[in-house]
Amino acid sequence: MSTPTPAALLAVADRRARNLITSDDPATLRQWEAFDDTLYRLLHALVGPGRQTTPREDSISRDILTTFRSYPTPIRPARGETYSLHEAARLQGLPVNRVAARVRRGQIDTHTLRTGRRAWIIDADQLDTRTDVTPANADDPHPLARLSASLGALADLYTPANDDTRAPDIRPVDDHDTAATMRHVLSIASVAARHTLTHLPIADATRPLQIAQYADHALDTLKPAQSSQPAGPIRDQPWRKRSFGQPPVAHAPSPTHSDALDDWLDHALDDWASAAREALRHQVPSTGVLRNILTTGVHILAATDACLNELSTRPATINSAVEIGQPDLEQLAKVRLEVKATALVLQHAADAWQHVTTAMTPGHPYVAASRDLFAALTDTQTALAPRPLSDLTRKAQSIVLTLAHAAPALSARLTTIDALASQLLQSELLFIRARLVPPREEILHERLTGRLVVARERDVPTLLHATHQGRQQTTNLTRLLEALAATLTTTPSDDRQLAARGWTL
Amino acid sequence: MVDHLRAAAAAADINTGGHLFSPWAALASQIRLTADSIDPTCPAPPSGSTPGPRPETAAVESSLRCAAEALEEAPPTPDALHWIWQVHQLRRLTAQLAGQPSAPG
Repeated sequence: MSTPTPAALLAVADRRARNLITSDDPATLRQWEAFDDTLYRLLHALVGPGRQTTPREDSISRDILTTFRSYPTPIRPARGETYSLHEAARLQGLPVNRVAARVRRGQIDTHTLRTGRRAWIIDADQLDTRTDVTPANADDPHPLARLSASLGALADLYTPANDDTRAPDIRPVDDHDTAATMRHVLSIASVAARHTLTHLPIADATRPLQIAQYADHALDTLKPAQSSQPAGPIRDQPWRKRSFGQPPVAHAPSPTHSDALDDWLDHALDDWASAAREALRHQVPSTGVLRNILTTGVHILAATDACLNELSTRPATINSAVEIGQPDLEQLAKVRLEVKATALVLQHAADAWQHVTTAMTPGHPYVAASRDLFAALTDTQTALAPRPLSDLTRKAQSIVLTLAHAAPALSARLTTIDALASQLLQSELLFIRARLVPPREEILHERLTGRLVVARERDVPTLLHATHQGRQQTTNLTRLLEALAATLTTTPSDDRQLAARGWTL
Repeated sequence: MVDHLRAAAAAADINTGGHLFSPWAALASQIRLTADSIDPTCPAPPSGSTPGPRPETAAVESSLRCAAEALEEAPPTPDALHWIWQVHQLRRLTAQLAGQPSAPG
């Protein structure tokens, strides 16, 4: 039987990942950890053990190595690898001095370099604390296990057996091919991680979330040259501490548990605002992202309106008024009017962008963050749907505070989009279908062939004004929401507290 | 493939019933984001002899199903896998929305 080629194994893995997408079979922590470990082993084999960069290497080579080194602390170190003290510390996510202390206590065996330099070299097996994590069982019919098995076979193919130096190195020769293979593998990893997230208990979901976020960032970094890429490889991108310095907190919201939903919403808003900020920093941002930011603003305001509706129609009882601030109905009505007016303006701005494009695709991190926020906001609207005999006042107040807290971030994104609108027009980076603009001689051919042409301001007469209005309206609304939040968090007066307890002065 | 997604977005717009705060409006936005991930060049509405999916007759789910079937034929690439995942998620979200009472405007 002939040995399968890497391309064939990758195609098998891709097919199994597609099966995983449509599978409802719940994944276990054991199956996930086996996948996680196999993924790292494959990336290590692909990049090459002991690979270092040199100053002369091009950006794709640096991107490959930086992507690999950015892998969240692996469950198990790469087999057969050796590590310096600093590398071992980074691998284990520990301070260097702590690892050094373990070496001095004899808990970690070391050897020195053959050159005789005093430098501790640590074998991978000395750092392996999870020998319980084993490759997926080949007989396991679960789609995730089968996917792990195919990636494991690919890793075996790239790893010469028993350091047999005579065995041909079948890893990609060209770094561009290596990057393409890594992208495919990480795309599979992103899908597997997100599938696993939906099945694992919340306590075990942090790691798959880390890997999903890592894979999304890496997919963008390793994408073939596109001018919209932000400057610098992954190391220059602000990996937020929540993801890597501190593990992200996965959330499984329950509409019946206010705190969990509110926490999830807060997290989703924060992730989305950060992803939007990064997407807008691209040299040429995607107009798909710009439009989605505007329409997500509408969705945020829809959830806000649901909260305000609840606060307006279910006045708090005396007892609950003791514990929470009580805005007057006039203030609530005013804010609600502004929320609706702002949403309308944002929708008009989004409509103004619908026919133009920079021909850049949205990045994976933004798409993922936008999807997560959509789910959180939709669940919020569902949780606040009026129900008989159900007092949602406390939940509505908590959520409106969360949304009000996010308003400045939304306003900041719109300020950026407002500036980008004129910059993109003036730089001739906005395009429009020739058939959608008034006919003129110089674009006659493009009109006949249905091609894109550079958009002029006269071709999109509402774009700049609608975007600017969106910015202004959101800035005004942010002030109102902040004032409302201040009212909601004001401690009631002493008289009201006494009255609630049946006392009078 | 992208035509099916844009038809699904248009159908979702129709499902809003003109209510700005309808969750279907937000879903339409998500569908368009996925469509832009595949083809960001804003194809013009179809005209002439090759009519595309008609938004006024295609339900959101059926259009998304057509998009998923078209993507299944795509060769194995990192981007195709991601699009398949996104469309699968959109179908799941559509099913959830379809099962809810109509959202107030």
